[in-house]
Amino acid sequence: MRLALNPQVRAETLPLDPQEYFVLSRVEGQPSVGEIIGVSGLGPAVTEQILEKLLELGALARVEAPARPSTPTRPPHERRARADERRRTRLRQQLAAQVRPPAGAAKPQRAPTGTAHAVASPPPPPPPEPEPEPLPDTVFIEPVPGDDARLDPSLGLAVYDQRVLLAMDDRRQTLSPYEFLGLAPTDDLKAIRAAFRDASRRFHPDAYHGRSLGSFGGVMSRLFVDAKAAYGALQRADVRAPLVAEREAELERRRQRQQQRREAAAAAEALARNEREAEAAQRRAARAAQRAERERERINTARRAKVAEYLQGAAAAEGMENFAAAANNYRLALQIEPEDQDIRARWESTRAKARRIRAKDAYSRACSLIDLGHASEATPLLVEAAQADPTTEHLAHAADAVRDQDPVQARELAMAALRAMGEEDKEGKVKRRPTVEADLRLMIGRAFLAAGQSQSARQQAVLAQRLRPSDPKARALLKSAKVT
Amino acid sequence: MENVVGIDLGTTNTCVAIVEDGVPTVIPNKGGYKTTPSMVAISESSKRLVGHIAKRQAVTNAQNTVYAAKRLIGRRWESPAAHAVQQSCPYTVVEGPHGDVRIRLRDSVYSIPETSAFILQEMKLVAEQYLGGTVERAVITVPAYFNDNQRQATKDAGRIAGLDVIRIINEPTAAALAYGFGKDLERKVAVYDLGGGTFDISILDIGRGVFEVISTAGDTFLGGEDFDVRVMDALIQSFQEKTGVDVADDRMALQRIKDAAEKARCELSVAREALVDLPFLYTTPSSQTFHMQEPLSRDTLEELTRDLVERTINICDKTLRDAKIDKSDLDDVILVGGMTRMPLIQSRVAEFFGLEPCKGVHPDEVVALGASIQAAALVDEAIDVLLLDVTPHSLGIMIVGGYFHRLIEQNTTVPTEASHIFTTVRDNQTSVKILVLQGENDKATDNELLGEFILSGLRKAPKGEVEVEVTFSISADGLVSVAAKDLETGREQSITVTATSGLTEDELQKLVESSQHYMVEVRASEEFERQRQQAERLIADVRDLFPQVQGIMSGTSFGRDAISKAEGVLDRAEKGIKSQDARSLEEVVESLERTLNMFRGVVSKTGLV
Repeated sequence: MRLALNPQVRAETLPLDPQEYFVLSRVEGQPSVGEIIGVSGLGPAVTEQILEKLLELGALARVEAPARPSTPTRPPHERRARADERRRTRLRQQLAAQVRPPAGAAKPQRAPTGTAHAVASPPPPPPPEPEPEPLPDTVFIEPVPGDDARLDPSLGLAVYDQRVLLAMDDRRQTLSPYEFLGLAPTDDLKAIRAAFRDASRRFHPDAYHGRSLGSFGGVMSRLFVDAKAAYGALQRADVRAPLVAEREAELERRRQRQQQRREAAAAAEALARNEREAEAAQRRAARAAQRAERERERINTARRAKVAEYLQGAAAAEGMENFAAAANNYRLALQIEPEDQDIRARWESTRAKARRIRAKDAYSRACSLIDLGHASEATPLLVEAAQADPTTEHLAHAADAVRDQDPVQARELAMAALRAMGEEDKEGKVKRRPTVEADLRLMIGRAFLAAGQSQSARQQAVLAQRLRPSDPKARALLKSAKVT
Repeated sequence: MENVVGIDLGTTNTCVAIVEDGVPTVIPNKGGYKTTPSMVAISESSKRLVGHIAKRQAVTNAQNTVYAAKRLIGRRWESPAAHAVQQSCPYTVVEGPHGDVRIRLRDSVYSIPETSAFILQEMKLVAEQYLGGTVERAVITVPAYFNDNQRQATKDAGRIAGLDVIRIINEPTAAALAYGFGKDLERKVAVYDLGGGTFDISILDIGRGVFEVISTAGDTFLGGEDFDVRVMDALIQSFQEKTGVDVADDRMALQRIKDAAEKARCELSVAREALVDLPFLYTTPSSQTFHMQEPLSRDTLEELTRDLVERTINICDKTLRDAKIDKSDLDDVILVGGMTRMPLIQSRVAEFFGLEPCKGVHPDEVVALGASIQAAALVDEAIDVLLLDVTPHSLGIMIVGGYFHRLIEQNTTVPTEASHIFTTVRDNQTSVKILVLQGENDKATDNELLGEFILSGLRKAPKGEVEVEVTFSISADGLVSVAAKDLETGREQSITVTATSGLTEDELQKLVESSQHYMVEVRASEEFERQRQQAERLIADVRDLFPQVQGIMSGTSFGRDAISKAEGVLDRAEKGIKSQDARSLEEVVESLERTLNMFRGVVSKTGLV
């Protein structure tokens, strides 16, 4: 088999290591594998492996017609040339039948889908998966160098054939039976028989009858005897077994190496993919955070605007003395900004103001209704005033007003009025006149009485008498309290 | 392309073939027959007769007619084969000067290769006539079981006949070549070859154009002749019972009975009954005449020869067993040789191998065709056939005690090589004689001696100390060479063993020359014969026109002159024929042609034709 550079493939674009590139650079013209091994100086095993890779990558191509320069000394005998050609064709067919074609190279690689992001450009397609390198089914024996002294171009035998024959003859003692037949170890008896027949054609002197063979006649006879002996030996399973096992082991080693290489590639690929995915996840998280930030910003802004709007409304309402509306606005603002103490304070103060105003309003309307004689209609207003602004005065009036209808509530209100009075006295803010206080106590006392607490009612009545001696109302109350 | 023929030199018939444009073709002889009887006779006028002519005159000239010479070729005088022939043949067998067998015909003694050469020469002529060119090289077949002496004798016969025998191949192998040639077969076949004088069985592995002989065996003294002898004996015995006459001493009668037996045997291959009808077979001194009229049935023939057929089957069985081949591995059985037409043989072979024998080959021609294929394969590289033949006999040397030590076993593919280290057997032995032997017997003397040579100059040492390595090699063309090497001194001596055909080189040389002379004579006489016929035809034509021309031309002096010249030419022609001088006749033929042309011109001009 001869090799040549493939002009369509640019070597620079191939994933080659320096050694492989070196071997590629040794290919000039159409050398044979043996010649390349010779010039590479790397030894047959390494070189062959590299050549296999280069062939796989398409950097090298097999040359169909061997362009061996015919030795000028050989007579251009047409029949002889035809016979030689036939021999070679047979060998080629044999090779073609045995070496599996490198598959996979033609398979188009689809870009991985599903993980495509706008940001990340799709990763470069991985190099086509190489098939497990086939071990050649024929054995290559390196010919002796072209300058060997025993070569004789004047013989009727191509110089290259002479070189191969000499190489085999030199190694007669060490060649395995399979090597004599040019066959890789196999248990296939049919293949062994076919190989022996081909070896016969190569070595049997009759195949070259009429040509001058010189000392090569003897060489061929010897090699034929060896090939015959090898053929005989290979009929025995115990001869084949270790050699076949060795080849199987070699095949297995190659398979494993291939497997390891594949696994390493897969692992590297997986690692790269993981990295890409981690990066993508990070980017996604960052984008989500940004979005959340913007959202928060937007919400804050809106809230602030709302608060400002409420505050504005509150201020306006305050300005118009509408404390209820202001308090409402403050409450709404406080709902948005519950932590704002200023708003809370303002809400509380305006709410207090609003209540006082409402209580004052209800109290004054109640007073006017009482003045007009509609005491019963004034009662709810008095209660409202007591609720809105629980001053002693409001509470006492309310307690007095409800005592007939609802003695329980009247007692509650009376007690609240007493508490409020105590607080007001303690604070000392309100300076009540004694008559007012006496009235208040009378009212409280009446409420207690209505509630059945005559003791408390008497106490209030006593206190009222003390503030305003000889008050009839107080006396009346005392009397009522005593009666009960 | 050079003409290289293949010749099947058979015991009873010989056949020649050539590959023409890649097609092997049998060349028919002058009589149009594809085979020529292997018979040679010397007529009363000392003329050499070959083939059909020899066969036709055999009855009347039995003592001087050689047939089945193949049975004697390469044999020694003491061999049982020679004795058997002596007993049964009408011709006289004598001992040659080198212990070989010779035949006395009329006043001369001929070696066996010489008589075979007559046949080969005839075949050469047949081929040359057919091809219109010279034929100088040939492949000749021999029975597979022939030993080297027999092969060498056959080669010598070729050489005497003026043929360079480029290869001797085995007949069954040749048959297999013809069977498998041009087909892409992948088969294991058995070739059962029962010819006129020998039986061979060969097993071949055919594939990718390589014909590998795995095993071969045979019996060189078992063939159609033996079947004929059985029939003959039965006929003679029956004749004696009926007539009380013993014809055993009457060679002429024996010859007639032999011919009739052969004829009857052949007839019985197709018919169930045959009649041996020999009128006037024997006349007593008292002029009493006896005729033989014996009906012979196929059953009788089979009864007479059954044991012979069984012998062939036994050999087949042994061969298969020795080669460790199972009958079921065989894909085909090829029947070769005229004898295989016998129904008993066909059925026994079919029964034994469990295969219906192949009918695709012509049993009489297939061997010659195969020989021509091998010839073509050797000289023409376009014929893509390779034959891997085996050596049919073991080869070895004689060792102390007169035992035979085998170096190359029988059925070893050639070329081959084997060596063995021997030690001296006497103290201070300085030379060792190496006897090269061939055969299967453990006693050296029972095997065929091929040659001997002496390795001298050995170191003086106690016995057993000096080691001699003897290497045998057989080349692809069957040449045996033996090298002996003193391992101590490295001294080496080798010979190419030339098997002896019974003829010395000098004798051979002389025979080759005389044969060339003979050929020249034959050619000359043939040439003269051709000229004579032409001259006679021309003379007749001229004489026919003579009266007319005379009438037209005698009026002028020029005419008279021309007529007298023509008369002179006729005269010279007749003289030339009488004197048998081919050269002068050739000139006269030209003059005759001119005269005839002139005469015709004259006659046609005057319109009197």
